[in-house]
Amino acid sequence: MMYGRRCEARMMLPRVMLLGLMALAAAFRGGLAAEAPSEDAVRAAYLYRFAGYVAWPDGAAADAPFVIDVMDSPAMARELRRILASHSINGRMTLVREVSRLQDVGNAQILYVAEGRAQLLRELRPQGRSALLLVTAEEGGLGDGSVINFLTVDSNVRFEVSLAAAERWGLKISADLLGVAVRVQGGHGQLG
Amino acid sequence: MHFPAHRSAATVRWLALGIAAALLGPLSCNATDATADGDLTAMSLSDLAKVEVTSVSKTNEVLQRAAATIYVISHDDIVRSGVTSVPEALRLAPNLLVTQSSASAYVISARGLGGNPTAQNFSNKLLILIDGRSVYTPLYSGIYADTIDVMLEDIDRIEVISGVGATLWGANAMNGVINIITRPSYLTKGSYADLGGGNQQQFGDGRYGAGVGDDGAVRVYGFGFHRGAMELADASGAGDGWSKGQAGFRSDWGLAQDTLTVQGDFYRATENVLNSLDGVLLGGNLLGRYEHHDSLSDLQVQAYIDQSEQLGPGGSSGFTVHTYDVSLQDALMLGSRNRIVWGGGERLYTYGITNETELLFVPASRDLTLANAFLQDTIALTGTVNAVLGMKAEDDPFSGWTPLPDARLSWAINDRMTTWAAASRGIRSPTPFDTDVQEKVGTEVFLHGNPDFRPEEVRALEIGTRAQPTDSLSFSIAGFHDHYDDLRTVEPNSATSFVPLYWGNMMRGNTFGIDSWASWQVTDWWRLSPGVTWVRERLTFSPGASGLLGTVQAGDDPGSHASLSSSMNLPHHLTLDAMLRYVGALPSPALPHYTELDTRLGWRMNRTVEFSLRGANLLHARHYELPAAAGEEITRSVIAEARCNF
Repeated sequence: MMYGRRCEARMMLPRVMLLGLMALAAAFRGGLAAEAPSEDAVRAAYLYRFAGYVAWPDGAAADAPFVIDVMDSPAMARELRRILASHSINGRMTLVREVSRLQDVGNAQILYVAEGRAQLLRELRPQGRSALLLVTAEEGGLGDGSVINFLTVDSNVRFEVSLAAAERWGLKISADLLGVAVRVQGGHGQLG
Repeated sequence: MHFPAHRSAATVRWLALGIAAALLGPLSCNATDATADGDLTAMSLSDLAKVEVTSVSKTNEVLQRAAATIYVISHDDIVRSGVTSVPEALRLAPNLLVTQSSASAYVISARGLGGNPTAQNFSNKLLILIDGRSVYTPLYSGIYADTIDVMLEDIDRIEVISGVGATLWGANAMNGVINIITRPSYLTKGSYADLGGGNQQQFGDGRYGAGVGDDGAVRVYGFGFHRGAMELADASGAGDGWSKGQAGFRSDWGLAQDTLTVQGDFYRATENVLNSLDGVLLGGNLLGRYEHHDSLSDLQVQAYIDQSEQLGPGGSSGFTVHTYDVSLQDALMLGSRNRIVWGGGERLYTYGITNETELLFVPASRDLTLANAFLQDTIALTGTVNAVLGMKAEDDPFSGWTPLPDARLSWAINDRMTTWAAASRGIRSPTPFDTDVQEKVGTEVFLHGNPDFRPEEVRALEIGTRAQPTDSLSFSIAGFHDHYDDLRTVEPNSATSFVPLYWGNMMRGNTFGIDSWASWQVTDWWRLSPGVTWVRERLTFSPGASGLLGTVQAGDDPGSHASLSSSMNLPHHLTLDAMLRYVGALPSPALPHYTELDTRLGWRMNRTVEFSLRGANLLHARHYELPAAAGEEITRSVIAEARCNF
């Protein structure tokens, strides 16, 4: 009985290996699989586009640079610099700064906080600061005080928006952006 | 009977290879099929939302720093593996051992002591929660695997914690906790349907989700399946095929800082029983959860009701359990260093049992009330060192209040590496099966429940490291030493009369071992994920114990189990996934070690439609995962499936 089963397993193996080899051969014949962009590349493109749909209250001087602070995500900073090397935001020069502590967050327009770090935002208050568009990328990011939170759903990068947080920071967000969000928290009649 | 069964298995095998070859064959020699971004910055927001991104394996940052052994099965893992049930999905976690005993029954365990069905010791030291609803049965603390179906497409992730999770999750989170978390309904808008079938099962699923007003979303789903019978030792049918239909909904309502979730599921299943009438399962649940998040606290209040009814062949035996549960949990920062989580809950079980003539519960019905209160403080000792101190007090109707303390220390050595250690205590509370049961031979009672049965206890020490040394490599390794006391034994009634026997608490001892896994992104398109768990058990009887059934009654466990998963993104929108799993030999009753292979080939025809072909248990036409006394032969199966998102 036992012998029979083992014997069958041994006979089966070559066919299984064959299947595996066929797949491998197929993979190599086709070369590397299609190169889709990374999550950070798409998030960076979103960040660049968001600036066109958000109104900051303190109309900064047109000659002051548009500053994006990136907390704890070198990959995101790299993607942003790549994009902003050839694009301006609202006609302004841009500056991407990497920070690792809240104390280092300066008078930026956007603060992007890397996955896993959103809790830090709980200690950030609007008082005495310029209006910051807080952007996170983790489940529960809005609960931590973020305005826009990225979610990856079925290989697509999507985002959710908290209008309460936007209001707290004095930001107005256009209905076009809200229309693309998977979820808008605190939505009644506040569309800017 | 014999011959045709064998032949159909061979046919299935060749059919599988044929279809695989047909799918792989047309691959052209063209180089990459570039869907590469071009210029993302030129895209509108709604176009960006449709860009497919590479999902490079990565460790969830929050979990990366948790001071516990946690493996997360993602939505993607579930879809790409092609599994069709929750127990099969749990196999994807290397820190769990999942063995199948019949068409509808599985044994799920972590870190040993997975029970020994031939000694009536069932796997009862794990807790499974579906969206915060506990699904173990209060009758014996185990899991009825045929009652925990979830619409797999709607699962966001499954978090598998091995080790004691008692402080936050309570009793029976003794060797592990499994959290099945479904997606909020605002992430499942649109329609989904799938249809699949093969030699072993046929199924269909459907879901529709939509936004409601500005702040809400709802989805409804339904599915049905039939799973065919397994086989007996002589390769004849085990007559245990079963069918199930389930429907449910989830709705989420978001206000400024508040979320309200209401969800429910209802099912009915028919299970064939060899040479007998069918059994029936009926169940339903309704859950509401309110969450409030602000910069000071995260509050969660949850309530649910659950009804589960199981009727044996022809309704001659069975039981009904009603569960009513309320709980509250609040997390808040106290100063800048202390994050407090506190809460409590109360649960009422009411059950009624239709006793069989030789297996009785006396009394046949009870109301059981459980209560708990807990407090946990996560203290940031330095920027990189956290301490977690927790205490839960749990009151169960049989053993009263029990303290469940927990202390953990984690050190984030750098951004890529965390080391942690923990000491904790967990219990398995007594159940009616321990206290009320009477087993008879004819009219004579030969085994009697013990009203004084004490909780089974574990005191666990763990140490672990999680690291991502390079962008393409991550690993987790944890060593554990569990000291058990008051494990259940069978004792003679008194010195003068041997029977009836009764349950005692006269076994103790140690288990120690290692849970480990890694993930290696070999290339952009190929990921390999090995996992190994190794457990040694050293159990002894307390002085004066009968020694009946030996210490192996606590767990007929393999000394090790391991898996190797491969996940490939091939050109032409093909994906190929495979998992090879090895389970070591079982001691008594003995079962030789075995190796099995599951694979799935998927082809995304377009954004809407995907076809796939899956083979499960491919290496053997049939194999045992539990000894013949406790399980049936599990047969090879092949499934073709079409999935449609629209």
